[in-house]
Amino acid sequence: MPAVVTRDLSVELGGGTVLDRVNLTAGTGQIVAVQGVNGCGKSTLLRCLSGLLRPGGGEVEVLGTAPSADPAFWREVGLLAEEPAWYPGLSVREHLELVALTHGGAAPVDRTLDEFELTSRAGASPLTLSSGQRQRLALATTMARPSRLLLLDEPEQKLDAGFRDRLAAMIRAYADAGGTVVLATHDAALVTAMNATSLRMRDGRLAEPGPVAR
Amino acid sequence: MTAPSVPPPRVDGATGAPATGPATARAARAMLRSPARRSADPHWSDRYLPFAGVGVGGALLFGPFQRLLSDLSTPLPPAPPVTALVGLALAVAALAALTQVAAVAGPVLLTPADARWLLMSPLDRRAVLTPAVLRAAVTAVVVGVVLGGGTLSLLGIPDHGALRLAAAVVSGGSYALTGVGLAALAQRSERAAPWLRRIASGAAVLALLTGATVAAAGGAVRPLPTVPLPAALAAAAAGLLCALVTAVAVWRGLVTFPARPVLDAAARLSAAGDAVVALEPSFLSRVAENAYWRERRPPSRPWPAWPGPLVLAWLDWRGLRRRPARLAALALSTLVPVLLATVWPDRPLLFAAAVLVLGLAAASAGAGGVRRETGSPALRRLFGVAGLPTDAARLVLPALLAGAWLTGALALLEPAGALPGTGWAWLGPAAAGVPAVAALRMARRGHIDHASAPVVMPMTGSRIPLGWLTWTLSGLDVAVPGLLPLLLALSDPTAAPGPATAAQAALSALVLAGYLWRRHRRP
Repeated sequence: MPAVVTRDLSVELGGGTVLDRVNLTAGTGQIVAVQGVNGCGKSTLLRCLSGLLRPGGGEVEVLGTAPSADPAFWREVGLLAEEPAWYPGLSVREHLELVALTHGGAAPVDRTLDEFELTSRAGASPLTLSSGQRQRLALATTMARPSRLLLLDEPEQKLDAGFRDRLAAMIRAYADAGGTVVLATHDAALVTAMNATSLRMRDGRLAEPGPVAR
Repeated sequence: MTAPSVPPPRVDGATGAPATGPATARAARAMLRSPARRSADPHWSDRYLPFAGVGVGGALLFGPFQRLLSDLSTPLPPAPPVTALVGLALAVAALAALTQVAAVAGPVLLTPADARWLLMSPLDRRAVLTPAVLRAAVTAVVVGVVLGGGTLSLLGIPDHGALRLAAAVVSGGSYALTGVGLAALAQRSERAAPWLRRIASGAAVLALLTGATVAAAGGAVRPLPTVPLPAALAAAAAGLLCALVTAVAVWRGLVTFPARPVLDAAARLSAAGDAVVALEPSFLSRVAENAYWRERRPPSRPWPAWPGPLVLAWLDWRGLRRRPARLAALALSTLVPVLLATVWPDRPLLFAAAVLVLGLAAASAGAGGVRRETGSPALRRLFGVAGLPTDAARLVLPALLAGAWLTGALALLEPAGALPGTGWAWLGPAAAGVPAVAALRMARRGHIDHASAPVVMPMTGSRIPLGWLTWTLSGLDVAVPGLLPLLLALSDPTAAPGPATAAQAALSALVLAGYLWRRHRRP
């Protein structure tokens, strides 16, 4: 059963068409990278898949049902969109511990800090981190807990080249273990490194619609 | 580089609970309140401000009830018919405004951080949202009880004081709770929420216009018939039933409450987080403006071929023209002082304060550009236009708005008998410059400087931060002394408008000149 299916998905915002009859299928264990210029509808597509935006037309199925953004949904789906609001009084470590507490079964915090190169800043407030470090923390909170589907909106932004390679390997490992990833990205090298299926989006339409072959 | 690893995904296809179950919302909140994050050994004096605030607030809220509670066995005569009816209209308007504010703010409202970390998690949705709902409910009940008590003091207590007081506060609290509950129910639906906002706005406008009509009718209004006790009790029981039904519906719906509207409300809260309600109209206006334009496409028009400073000032004119509802609301608010003067004719300071605050709000409606630029220095640098001509050009619209608003409000106060003599409307144009300068000063104050050096109180040794104080006073420090001739004349029942107008015009000119000179010296 595919993890993500959209059929003729359409969205209008502010009087304009943002998504125009998008058909997308992502199978289990697959990485689908949606690429395209700014404003072409990549983020809107991810918002629809996460249940945070109700489409104007068409159908969306995520893990077999319509995305609901309810607690059961977030147990299975990790979303990285714009930078999250941080608790200014919580340290980096405490944010990760909070995720471990709320989701259960997350990776050990020390290991996560090490993998996302945040060990030296574990006691710092996220507000004092550099923008790249905050992006790594946002990625860590999304990826260091169990899930079956990751929706990532430009995960590579603000990351240095070295960590981008590392991120590609992490996402590839996640998919190899059976998880599904749908991401929006501008980084062609990342797509290649992940061995992802690339789809082009233009003016709200997918250039290569239909079932995605791995 | 160590081998990257992430937790194994759930690949069994099951949608049930994971092997290690997530914690409860209570446990997550307990973690957020972890003692490790609290400052050690707070001194009692650190609690001074909250306690003093609660004490003063309680004393102020007790005021409306004092007369009622003093002797419930003694019949309390009703207020004059005009006062009672206008007061009733104001209470209805306040109830509608409460519903409107609740619908705009949420009312199921989490902080942006809670929305990200607790709402978008496997935690039980009802447990996550319950504190937010309780906060909204308590606020509604407190506002409703005050409104109920105030209304009863206007209608009078002919008999059964305790029962009538109970009926009044239960009615107020339950109808306010119903309004906020309806807003919570409407928040779930993209279609229902705008309709509820329209209905609440319409009810508030209708109540204000009714009150103004009654105030204009004056002595022609007949005395109100006494409300029979069974009718008062029945109204309270009906209100209680409505509140209960609404509360149960909200409570049942929390389990499946959608995430999107709560995230939207959190985003609005975030946008408004850098502003405070105190005399800062940008709080609601910024939230409303962002929400308004998120759903619309602004028409693209060419800019006039004017010099840079004029074009930059034109930005505010254009923005205001594209939001005609704001102008209508400002025009409608000129009724507020006359309504206050009708309900409390022996408290001229009250409507004088309303004139000051709403006059400032009118001027602030024309200072949106400066406010946005203060919040974003990059925006200011983008235009590269500054200096005396820009400052002068940007004064025009706030001054025009303040002048028009003051003229309208004073012209309405005069025939209502709140002001002696004639010719008060001339004070409007005479005072226009001062609210404009104050509004621009308020627009430029930016965020509260919490890092400012605290002042140590000599008696208690407690430290009072100055940032919030200087922030609050910015703008008022110009408006209050600058409008003294107007405010003194309004609060003096024997004042004549002529000398006040002359003094105010001279002072306004002085304030304007001082402002421009200072901006010229230190741009």
